[in-house]
Amino acid sequence: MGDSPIQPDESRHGSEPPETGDARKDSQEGALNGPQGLSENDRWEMLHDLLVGPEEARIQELEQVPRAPRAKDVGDVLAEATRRSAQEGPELAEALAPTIEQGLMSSARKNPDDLAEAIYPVLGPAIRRSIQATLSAAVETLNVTLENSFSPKGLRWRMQAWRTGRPFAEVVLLHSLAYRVEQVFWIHKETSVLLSDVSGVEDSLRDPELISGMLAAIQDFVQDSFAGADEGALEQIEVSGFRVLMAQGPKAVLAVLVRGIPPESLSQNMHETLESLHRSFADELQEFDGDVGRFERAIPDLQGLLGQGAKVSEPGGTKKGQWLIAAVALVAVLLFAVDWIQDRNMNSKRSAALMALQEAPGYSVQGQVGDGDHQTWTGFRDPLAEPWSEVCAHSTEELDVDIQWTPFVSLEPEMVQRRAEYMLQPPFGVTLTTEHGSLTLEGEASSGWVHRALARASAVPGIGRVDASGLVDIDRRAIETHARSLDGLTLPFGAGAGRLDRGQPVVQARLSALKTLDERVQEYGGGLLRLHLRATLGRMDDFERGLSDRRLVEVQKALGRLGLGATVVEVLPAPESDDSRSPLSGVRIEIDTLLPKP
Amino acid sequence: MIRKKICLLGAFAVGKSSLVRRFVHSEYDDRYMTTVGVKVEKKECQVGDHQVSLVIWDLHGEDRWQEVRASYLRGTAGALLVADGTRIESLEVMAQLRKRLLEQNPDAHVVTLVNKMDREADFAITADEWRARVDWGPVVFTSARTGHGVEDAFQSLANHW
Ligand SMILES: Nc1nc2c(ncn2[C@@H]2O[C@H](COP(=O)(O)OP(=O)(O)O)[C@@H](O)[C@H]2O)c(=O)[nH]1
Ligand SMILES: [Mg+2]
Repeated sequence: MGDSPIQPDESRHGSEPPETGDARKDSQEGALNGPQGLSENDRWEMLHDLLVGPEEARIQELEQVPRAPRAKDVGDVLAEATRRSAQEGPELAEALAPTIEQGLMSSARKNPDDLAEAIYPVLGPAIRRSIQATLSAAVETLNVTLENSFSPKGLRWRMQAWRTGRPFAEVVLLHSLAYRVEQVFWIHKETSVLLSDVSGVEDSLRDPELISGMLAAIQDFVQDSFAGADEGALEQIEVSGFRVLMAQGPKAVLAVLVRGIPPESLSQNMHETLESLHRSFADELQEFDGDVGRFERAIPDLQGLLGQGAKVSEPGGTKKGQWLIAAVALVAVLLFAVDWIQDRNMNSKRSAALMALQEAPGYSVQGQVGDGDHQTWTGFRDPLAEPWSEVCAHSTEELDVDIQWTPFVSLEPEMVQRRAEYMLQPPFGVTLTTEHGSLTLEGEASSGWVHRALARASAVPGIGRVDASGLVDIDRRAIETHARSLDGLTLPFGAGAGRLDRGQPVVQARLSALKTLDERVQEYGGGLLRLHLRATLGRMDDFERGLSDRRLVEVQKALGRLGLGATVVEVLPAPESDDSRSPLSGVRIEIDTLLPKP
Repeated sequence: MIRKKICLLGAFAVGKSSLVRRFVHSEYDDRYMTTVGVKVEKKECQVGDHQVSLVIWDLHGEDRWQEVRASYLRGTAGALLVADGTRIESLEVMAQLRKRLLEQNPDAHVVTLVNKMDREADFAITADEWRARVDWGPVVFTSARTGHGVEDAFQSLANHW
């Protein structure tokens, strides 16, 4: 029977590497073929020494007993005896285990590096191999991508590369660097049970309970293998293109799943959050019995860690800066590489599309369900947003995703501007700007447009204030100019005449000018023309004074015949004094225009 | 919602992983588990009016040479102890693992399984003898192959919470 032997003293297991408690591994072929791939016995030489050391100590003990067999005798049969005993049952293993463990423990205490080193050679080459493979794949794919990128953005980056003398690939990487905290897990340390979690991206493929279990298992593995207690606690690991940052507290662990390269401050925030959670949930953590409902209150705190980071700033010119950039770029290539192996082309295309959608105004992806083959994305799309083809480099067919957009009105600044333009349709000559919820109109436009625009402007979603002080209504201005030019005109009467000669050209022209003005006011809508009539007397014609009333009636009649729709006529008393005498005798007309304010 | 870590304990090849697979049907990628030596799976059970989410730890792959580490048992609220009905020695291993679990974790609940019931004809001792030899509690006879008793076994563990 080949089952794992039972260790009587488990308090020591926490600091043991896997499998070392099994005494039979020395004697049985394949003993080191654990799932960790520890198949190369020679790599375990050091460990072997650790195992055999305590046996020797025991042998020395035996030697000191009177009439005990000599060391040589024991040595001769020990190997064979061990082998046989192992075939028969676990007794010898059990007998030896405490001693071996003790030796191992003290050895590990004295020089913990030995243990780490013994395991490292097995892990090291595997890691290196995979990095090498993924790196070359990534560079290849990157090159292809780069060679084919002739978008305006691509050309701009090319220019920058040319200007700064830096490889194009590096420039692209710099522009693409960003990070996003996608999921936050709060894990009970002792039971490794997930207390609470939040996600910034919906992804049914990643079950938070499994991830937290996995993280706990990895954490255990590392601690069991490399050190005791908390010293060896992992702070960061990379799993399939993600980084996992972990913060350790006395009762709970906080882990975040990050895409990209997070800033130092994230880890700081995590520790602060974890401390505050330990304070707020001191009792619940102490009494934890699996009831995770009591930790829902922590969600806002966990959400505080979600979010994404800006791109790394533009490259500087110093040598040091260049090195830094090169280093960052290398890290990015590695990230890309890991991404690639895991996700292949498709997933990177999809993440690129998601990133692009996240940034594009008027798009908001809310959900992502499905598997590696086919996915359905749901979310909101403003009908005025740029079409998909402008936003994403790949079509939905290429990405093999179904998209279900729910239309919505976005209040992103770009969309507010676009919506205002769409709703108001400013004509040539008008500039429309939106900023911080206020809309400014400047320039000249027809009264029809001005009225419509002003009626609609405040109804544009996202607009709370409208400033039209710089907007000129050209129709209104034209009417006002026209009215000013006619203001004070006189309809002349012949000397001593009481009748208006409507056949006289000047009278005809002036009456028809008034008619035109009236029509324009009518067209403007809601306006009013007020004509004030006053009789004027020629210098010599004192006797005409008696004609004034008659002349005023004549003019009123003439105006009445014009059929003025927007005009009211008022008669002013004739002046008494001589100062008001004018060169012309007749009826003078003063004009007021009253146009409604928009 | 209640969440509990549970684990599977038993000798090599008694069918622990097969039982989990049968119970969970999870397609979860287990690449990392191979390195770490533990596979974590999850299953939600209805107990009365509430949900119990079992986070199931299983030593992954060939555990022949793997030590049952303290961390594997730490924080475990319950365990399925598994024996192989056709192999009498798996009883002793199960008994020792149970002792070890309860030493570390006195409050842990256990459910005892004798697996491979589909091969009852090849059983080392009869089912009744199995019942008699397991002196710490009742036995659930299961078959990961046919699914017989598997739901019941997990459910009866979940019923403790
Ligand atoms: N006939 C039969 N074979 C089983 C059953 N459960 C597991 N096995 C087989 O037993 C072997 C070991 O199973 P595995 O689940 O890997 O055992 P573990 O080492 O305890 O995880 C495999 O070949 C399984 O196909 C069962 O219920 N009936
Ligand atoms: Mg297994």
